[in-house]
Parts: sequence; structure tokens; C-alpha cells
Amino acid sequence: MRELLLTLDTSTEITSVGLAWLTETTLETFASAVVDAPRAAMSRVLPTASSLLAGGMLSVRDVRAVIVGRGPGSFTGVRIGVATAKGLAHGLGVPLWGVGTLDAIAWGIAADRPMLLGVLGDAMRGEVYPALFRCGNGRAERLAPDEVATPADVAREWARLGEPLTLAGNGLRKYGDLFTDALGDGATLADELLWAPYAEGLFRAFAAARAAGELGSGEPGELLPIYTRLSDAEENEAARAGRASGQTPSSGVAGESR
Amino acid sequence: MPVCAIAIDTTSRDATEALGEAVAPLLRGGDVLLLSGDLGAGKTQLTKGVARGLGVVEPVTSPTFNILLVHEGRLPLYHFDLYRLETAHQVDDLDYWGTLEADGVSVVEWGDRFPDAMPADGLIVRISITDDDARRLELEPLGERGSQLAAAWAAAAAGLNGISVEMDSEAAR
Amino acid sequence: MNAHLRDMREGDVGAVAALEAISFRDPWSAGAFREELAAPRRAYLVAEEATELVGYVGIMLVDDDAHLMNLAVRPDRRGEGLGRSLAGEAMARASAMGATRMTLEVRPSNASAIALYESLGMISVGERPGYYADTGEAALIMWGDLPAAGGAVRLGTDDAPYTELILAIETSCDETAAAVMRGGRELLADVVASQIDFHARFGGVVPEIASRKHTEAIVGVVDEALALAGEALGYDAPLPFAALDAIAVTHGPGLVGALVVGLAYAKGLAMATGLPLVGVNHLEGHIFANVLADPEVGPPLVALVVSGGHTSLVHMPEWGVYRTLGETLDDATGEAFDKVAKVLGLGYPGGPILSRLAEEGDPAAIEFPRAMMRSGDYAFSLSGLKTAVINHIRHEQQAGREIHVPDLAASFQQAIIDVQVAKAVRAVEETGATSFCLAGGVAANPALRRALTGAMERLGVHVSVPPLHLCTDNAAMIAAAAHYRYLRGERLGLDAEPITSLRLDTE
Repeated sequence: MRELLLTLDTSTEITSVGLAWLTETTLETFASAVVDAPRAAMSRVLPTASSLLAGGMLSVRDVRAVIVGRGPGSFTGVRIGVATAKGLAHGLGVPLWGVGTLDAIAWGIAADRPMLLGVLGDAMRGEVYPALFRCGNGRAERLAPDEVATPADVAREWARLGEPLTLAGNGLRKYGDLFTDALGDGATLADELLWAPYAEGLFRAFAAARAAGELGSGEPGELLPIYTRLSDAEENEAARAGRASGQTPSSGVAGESR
Repeated sequence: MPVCAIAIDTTSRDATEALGEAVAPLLRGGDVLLLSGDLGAGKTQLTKGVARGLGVVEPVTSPTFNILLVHEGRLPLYHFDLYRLETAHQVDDLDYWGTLEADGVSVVEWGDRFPDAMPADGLIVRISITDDDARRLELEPLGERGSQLAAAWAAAAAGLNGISVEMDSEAAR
Repeated sequence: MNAHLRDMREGDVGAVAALEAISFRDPWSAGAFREELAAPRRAYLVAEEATELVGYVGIMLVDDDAHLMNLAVRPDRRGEGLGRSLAGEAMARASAMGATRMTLEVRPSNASAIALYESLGMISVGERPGYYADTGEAALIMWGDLPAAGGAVRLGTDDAPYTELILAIETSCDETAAAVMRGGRELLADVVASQIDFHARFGGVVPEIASRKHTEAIVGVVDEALALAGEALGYDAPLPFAALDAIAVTHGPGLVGALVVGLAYAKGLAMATGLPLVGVNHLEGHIFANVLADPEVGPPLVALVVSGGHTSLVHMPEWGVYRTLGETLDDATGEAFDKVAKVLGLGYPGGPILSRLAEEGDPAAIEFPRAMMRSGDYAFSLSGLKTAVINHIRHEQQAGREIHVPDLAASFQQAIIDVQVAKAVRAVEETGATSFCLAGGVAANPALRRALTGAMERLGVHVSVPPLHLCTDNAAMIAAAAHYRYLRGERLGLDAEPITSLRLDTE
């Protein structure tokens, strides 16, 4: 018995869509498409999804769950992806689950070889969204929550780790040199083709979260984007809301990445 | 590179608009003009000129209420007005930073409203009222591209009707 | 005849295919009907009695011609006029979608069908030899002109009301809203996020920053609307998506970051459910807020739409057809008031305070320019007036004279009113409008409302100035506007992007 999963992520300058078959024991990505056109998410994400489904002789009504990249990334891009995914899941009456965009990138890179991976998302305004992962045995373990920081601060901190580091993410387009300078021989840049959240990575991040029991409820109404850049007022509100419900919110709040 | 303080005087609304039109051919994707000045100083008037120079056809109206209005021309024109925003973080919601770095020209009225939220490069234009229809526009670059743009604009504007350019340059370093 | 006509839905396909199979020697499959439902420029209707399907009709538009694809009535219900109703409704829909003629093929041996079409004004023009494969019969080709002028939408009547169910979504500014409406007239649900207890629904997780709220609120708002609609219809459960006929969404103008949430969600929902998606202009929505509040409002009408930062004069000659006569070239009315108030030290937004002070002042005290009065067109420009006021204030201050604020306010206000009333009146006279609407999210200045109402009443034109509570953003007005766009066959594709233009014009 296999179930069809659909994934999408429009948090970065690319629009990423994919399909996978899920069984009790396996998750196989069988279709993947990327539209490398900044600001084209709105016009391309659903037509791309349609094409992939048609190519597999499938209908959107065959989809049993939607997995969306929640960010962080551009505010508009994150919103488009999350809102589109909500419409799809709500309309189909199927679960909607989210994974972090940076996690998807990490899971797309993680292989058998052990390595420390630093993913940098471009946060604009001279800032980045950094995330460190310990990779190996085909897994990517996140080492710190999502945040926003200056590239210089991040480079300094990562240099202090004293370990060889692989780097990925669209933040490298602007700050690649800064990082290779700060980290010297310790830094290797992953192939630029791997800097984006592709379907394979999105699905693998999902599978890991599922296996660890860390997915949310699957209710489309409860899935929140990850913006990371919050004001004091928002952090207080989110904390207050978390206290009120007696549990840590799985929300779009800095520090909550799963 | 010499540091110039450039001030441009205009004697009429038309001249202010023509000044805006003069910078348009010099603009490229990612350029940012931050307009500052009191109510009635002519920020929107200047922007209309820029828009005309970019080939925008529809009326360019004040974005005070809508905060961002987008026009299509030779380049997209992102016309912001930060007047109604209360805190700097509210610009994030507009995808301000992503838009400023994107494919079009951003003209931001009240662009210096939040000193903590200024782009790394671009050109501030401070507009003051010198008489009923006369204005003084002081160009203040934020970085290299801003300086480049200021110098080229001054050169393009000199000699236009109703416009006089004053350049106060220190010795080249 | 107790059957009522409505749009065919995915859920009807099984029954339709079954009726097709017993009615035609070369029947279409269920799959074929499904494909047709998803195709553009189609209208498929069913006749339903209680919960039973008793007939259906389908048309396809090619350029200005409507092709009748199939029409069938259940054998035990033939001879009761159902066929005529179905065909007639199909013709009305075709006309609403812009077709001017209808054509069909029929077997020459089918005397009753031929009689039916002839009674609707169609004539035989020729034959297509060998058209029917099974018997080698030729097909009789019939053509007819469509009754109404191309594009006119048949109004729902009490005997033949429209009954389509539309879910409308509105996220163009600060509010996340959803509404469900039947037949363009019956509001079954009207929900805005700020009135829902999200903490109760989501266990207290949602951050409260206005612009971000859309992404967090949209699903809950839609669920609430469907729950209320189900209740209104007497069901024990929320209205399911499958029972809807279309989804409508505001696709502009507004704040892009807000618009994209509603539009992206609506597109996802449309793709998932297979429902048609209709785009509505937010300004059009405000005109329909007038219509909802005042059933006497109807085309031909002229509306002065004062929405957020824009003012435009719009002509609606028929339902769903718009022509912008003129618009602001710079500052909108509300903005001009707010800015002058600010310069006078009345705070921001001080427009309402300025208006109040104006009531006490002399409108003839200062002669401010009536900009664009003689421009010969319908454009508005207020920045010159704003500058004149600012210059006046500066001169008075430089001369050491104290400013009499009420007189200044009244004179400034009168300069605006004179121009707006003059242009609005001319627009009504030139277009022959029978209704005038003051529409928009920004409560217009009371003196302007009075002046416009007075001028229009003198012209014998019905004036509609909606109560303030209907001036805020909501989805009910979007649903009302969507009804006409839906009937006209206007659809958004899955590639739709927000519209940024402030202009309300249909082709």
C-alpha cells in the first residue's frame, strides 16, 4: 500500500515541487521540478505541480499528504508556499506537514560520510539565516534552532568550532568569500546545485521528523511559517501564548525549527 | 574619489518633475532612492518624474495609505511610503529588503524614517521648501553606487530649464 | 415543474453519465464529463428535483458561438418543459459569457428536439452527412441568435433564482475574511478573523501582528465560514467543499504581502477541489457593499470609490462591467485631509478632526484653487490644493498672522467638494446612470457625503451611501461581486498573480 505525497517550497529564489511514494518502510521521491526564477513562485508553483502529476499519470486527488517548506526565507516567498500548501491540503482533506527550508537543504546533502554542515540562507539586509547540522549515515542532525545573524558573527562562531565544515545555501552567493576567508582550509563549499531545498531533501526531512514523532498535528490550520526575524512584541506574545497553552508552540517563532 | 555635496535647486513643480525624469535613464535594477522632506515638499512629484522617465504609463499616486505601489516601466518601479509605519520591523512584512535588492528601482518616501532600517547603498534625496514652488534637493549617497548615481544625475540635470546644480567638492583623496 | 436548475458539479457526474447512457446511442463517458467540467468556456447545468437528477445540458463557447453539446431529460420527466428550461438557461448563460449565437446538431428523426429548438428561435441551416456513425444519419445543423445582447447577465428572479454557492476569500489589507453566498443574493456566512477567538481554535499559538495574521488565520476563517453556511442551510455539519460551485478571491489591489496569502490559498483550494476560481477586484467589492446594503442600487450606475489611498469615478453600465471614468492623479481625498490636518498640528490621521472644524468655518473665507475643474475629463488632482494650503499657512506664519483653522478647513474642504460634486454630476448626466454610489473603505467626509447626496437627489438619481460598518473590508462584498463574474465565465488560472493596478476596468 503506497501513498502519494506532494511537496513544495517557495521560500528561496527557486520554486521547488516534488512527488513521492510513501510505504510503511520506504519513501521514494519519483518526480522533482525546480523553477529557477526569482519572484515567479506565485505564477509557477501550481502549474509545475500540475505538470508533475500529469507526467506521472496522476491526479491531485490522489495526493494523500502535503509537505511544505516553512522557511526561513523571503517573507513573501514563505507565505506563498505555506498558503498554497494550506489551500491544497484543506481542499483535499489531507494532512499538511512542514519542514524547515534549511533542514530540507541539509537532508538533500547528507550522505554516508560524516561531516559538519553549515547552511546559510540569505536573509537580505546584510544578514543570514544560519543552521548547523551534524551529517552522516544518511542523516542530518540539527545542532541549533533557526535564527538571524550577521555573516561576520556566524563566520567567527563557526571558525571557533575548530572542525572542518561543509557550506551550502543561497547565502553563500553574497558571503561565500567571507566564510572561506574566515574558515580557511577548514571550509568546503558544497556543489552549488545543492544549495536549494529540492524535493528529495524536503521528503527526507519529513521522513526524519515523522520517525522521531516530531511532526505537528497535520491540521492545515495549525501549520505556521518560520519567519525568524521577530520583534520584541511578537516574541513576548508567542511566549505568552506558549505559556497559556502549557506547551512549547510548534510555531513560526525563532527557536522552533521542526 | 572626491566627496561631493550636491544640491539641486528647482524653481517650479515642472522642474522638480523634470529632475526626476533626468535620473531615470541612469537607473538600474537594485537602485534605491530614499526621499525625505516635509509634507508638500514634492516627494511624490519627483517620483512622478522618475516614473515618466522609466516609461510608466498609469498615474503615479501617493502610496501613503497602501505603503507600496508597483508600476511597470523599463524596470519595475517599487514606490514605497514609510510614513504610516510605526516601527522599523514592520518593513520586514513588506518584503522591503528583498524588494530593494531585486530587479527594479525602489523609490522610498520617508525613506529615512527609521535610521536603523537603511539600506547599505543608495541615494538619499533631502527635499526642502525654499519658496512656494521652489525646492532644494540635497543628494546624500549611502555608498559607492549612491555616489555614482548622484554625480551622474547632477551632470544630467545641469542645464535643464528651471534647474541649477551646486557642487561643493572637497579635494580628491 | 418542481425541478431547479444549478451548475453541474463533480458529484453529479455519475448520475449524468447514467442518464447519458440511456439517452444517446453514442454516449459520453463519466470521464468525458469530468474533463468538460474542468475546461474553460463551458457551462454545464443540471435539473434537480429533491436530490434526484432529472436532466442536464452542456454548452461550449468557441469565439462568439455557443455550441450545445448535449441535453437530456430523464424519460419519466419528458414532456413537462424541462428540456425547454434547460435549453433556455443554457442560452442565457451563453449570452452572459459573451456569445451572440448558438448552434447544435440534432438527428433529423428527433422531431421533438427539433420542435423545442425551433420554439427557442433556432432554424435549420443545413446538414452534415454521415454525422451519426451508428445509422449513417446526417445531422441537422441548427443556429439561433441569443436573446439578450452579448454580455448581459440574466438577473436572478424569484421564480428562477440563481442558486450557485460561492466561497469568497478576502486578504487584501489587514483583515482575513471569508464568506459564503448563494445565488449572489443570499449571504449564508460572513466571517472576519478579528472576530474569531483564535486562541480557542488553535490553542493559543498564533502571533498577533496584523500583516502576518493572514497566513495563520486563513484556514480557520474558511472553516468557520463553511460551518456557518452549513448551519444556515439546515445541515448538521459544515458545508463541504464538494457542495460549492466556485471559489472567489480578491486578487488586488492591496498590500502585496497580504494579497498573496488569499490568492495562493484560493488557488491551492481550487486545484485540490477542481472548483472554478473567480478573481474579484477589491474596489469592485466596495461597490457591491453598496448593493448588499441597498437592493435598489443597480446598473447603470456611477460610483465614487474612495478606497484606502485611492479615489476613482467608475461607471458600471451593466452588472460586472466596469469603466473607470477618472481617478486621482496624486493624493486621494482622505489622504489630503489627513496631511493638511498634520500640517495644522492636528495629529495624524487628523482628517476627521479637520472635517469637524470645517463645520464651524466659512467655506468662502479663502479662495483655494479648484484643481481640474475645467479639465474636461474626470481626473482628480489634490496635490496642487495641498500645496496651496501649505503655502498659505507658511505665508501667514511668516507674516505673523494667526491662522483661523475652522475657516481654513472649511475653505479647503469646499475646494475639494466643488470639484468632486461637479465631476460626479457630470458623470451621471453623461452616462445616464440611475444610481450613484459613494463606495469605499474610507468613510468619506460628512460634508462631501451631504453635498453629493443633495446634488444627486436634485438629479432624481438614487443615492447610496453605505453605513460605516459596511465600509470595512469583508468577504461578503467580494462574494456578491463574484456572482456576476462567475456567470460571465471569467476565471483565474493557477498561474494568477496579484494585480497591482488601482484601476477597475473590464475588457
